[in-house]
Amino acid sequence: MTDITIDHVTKNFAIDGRSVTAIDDISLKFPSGSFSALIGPSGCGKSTLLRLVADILAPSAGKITIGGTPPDEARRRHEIGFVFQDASLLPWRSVMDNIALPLEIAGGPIGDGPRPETLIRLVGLSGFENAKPAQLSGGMQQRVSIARALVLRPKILLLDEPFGALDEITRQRMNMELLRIWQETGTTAILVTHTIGEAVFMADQVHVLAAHPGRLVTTIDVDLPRPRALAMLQTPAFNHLENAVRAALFGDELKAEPEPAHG
Amino acid sequence: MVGPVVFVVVLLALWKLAVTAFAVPPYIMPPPEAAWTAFLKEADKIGYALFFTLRNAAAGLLVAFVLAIVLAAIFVSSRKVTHAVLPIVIGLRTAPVLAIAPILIMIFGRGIGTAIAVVVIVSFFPIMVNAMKGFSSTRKNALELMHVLGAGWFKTFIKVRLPFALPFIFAGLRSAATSAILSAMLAEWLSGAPGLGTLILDASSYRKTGLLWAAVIVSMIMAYTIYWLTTAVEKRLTAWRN
Ligand SMILES: Nc1ncnc2c1ncn2[C@@H]1O[C@H](COP(=O)(O)OP(=O)(O)O)[C@@H](O)[C@H]1O
Ligand SMILES: [Mg+2]
Repeated sequence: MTDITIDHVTKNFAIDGRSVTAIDDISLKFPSGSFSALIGPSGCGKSTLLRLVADILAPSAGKITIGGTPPDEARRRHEIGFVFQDASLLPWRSVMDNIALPLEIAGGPIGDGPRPETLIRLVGLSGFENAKPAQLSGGMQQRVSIARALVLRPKILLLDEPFGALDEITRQRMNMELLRIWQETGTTAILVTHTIGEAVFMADQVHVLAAHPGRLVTTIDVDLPRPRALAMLQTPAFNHLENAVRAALFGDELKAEPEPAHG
Repeated sequence: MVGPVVFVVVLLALWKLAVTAFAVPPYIMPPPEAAWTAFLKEADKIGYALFFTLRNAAAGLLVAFVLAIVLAAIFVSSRKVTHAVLPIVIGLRTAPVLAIAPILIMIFGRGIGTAIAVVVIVSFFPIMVNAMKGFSSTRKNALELMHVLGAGWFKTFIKVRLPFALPFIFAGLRSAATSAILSAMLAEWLSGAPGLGTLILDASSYRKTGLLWAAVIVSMIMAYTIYWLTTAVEKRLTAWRN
């Protein structure tokens, strides 16, 4: 059971001596094995929230638990997989060695964790085992970084706009692969995105955030069946959910009349 | 091996040209062939001296390297230690070696100890400064990755900070390595221990200009070879940058 609980968490940063509230009293629950999306304008604290869960940052107030224990314990037990916005691979290591890095740190596989060779096949990089990151496209690098995040069979998987730099088509493919992997591994996943369609397509729950200060607007439950298929993108149910997220993101702006054009 | 060979050929050509063109008298600078004759005649003497100088330079450079990397690693991870120790390190660096030579000789004796100390004092600073720059230039993302993976300080240092810093460390090592031979000879001048430096000094006082210049050339070739070796190792270890 690895649910994630965010309980009245606030995060302040000191910028030039004054305190800026990046996250203002957010409470959220991520059920064990669920797929959740965080969506909101840039600067609303999505990355900060993910970094708090991963124990890269500590909350200014409030409490976070992962499977009932503090994040730093989960981190030390190597239970957290993190996919950064840029792949952040080590440039001197081959694809294989980058994926094996967590194994070197944990001192070997955890339980019956997957072998790097298996993961390379899973993310479709067979034949590139010995390539260096500089020889790969952005999408391939991001796949390496996903494989790396999965190699210790993490209980929770945090993804910070992992496909933000990819084109629409590659992105859609990667998302399908990601869902397949997630379903196979049963990990609790949180995906940060700023694409409405992506959030609805991927998640069981979409949490909509607003900026200045970063706060939770609403949570939208996505009741589309799994496994998700591309055909669902064109269904009324999908559009309905997209509209709900859009309404939460833009609030009253959606109802406002367009400004008359100046002649 | 092409680099050093070209270096020697160009050096000899320039030398011969200069001596002939300006009619330099042999007691100031002999032609290359005189140095060559002296080199052949006293090859064992030069070889013996070279052994000492090279050994001292290499040992000093090794100590300097380890010391510089360890200090740099400590300095980038602790502000307090930096504030306490860095001024001492800089002070040691700026003290003229000539002035502190008697103290060094008193502590380390006239043998390899003083030689290592002098080489360390002269060459560890560029390595340390560059290593500090390298260690603190590690990508933040890579450090966060190691943190999330549950890596401790040591594994983070070995697997991420050190490799990212290698290009910087080599920049420092290159400049240190070239001056290491010179520093080892300086130590011989200060302590009178055997080596190329002492050989040059003796040859000079006995006006054996052929031997003097043979020894000078050997020391220059050594310095260049070390520089070339460092660059070759660097190319291998930091190939990922291209
Ligand atoms: N390390 C930091 N130091 C200071 N301010 C930060 C830091 N990280 C984030 N912030 C601030 O917190 C807010 C939220 O940032 P972030 O979580 O990156 O937003 P998002 O990922 O949603 O775009 C922004 O106003 C940003 O300037
Ligand atoms: Mg962000």
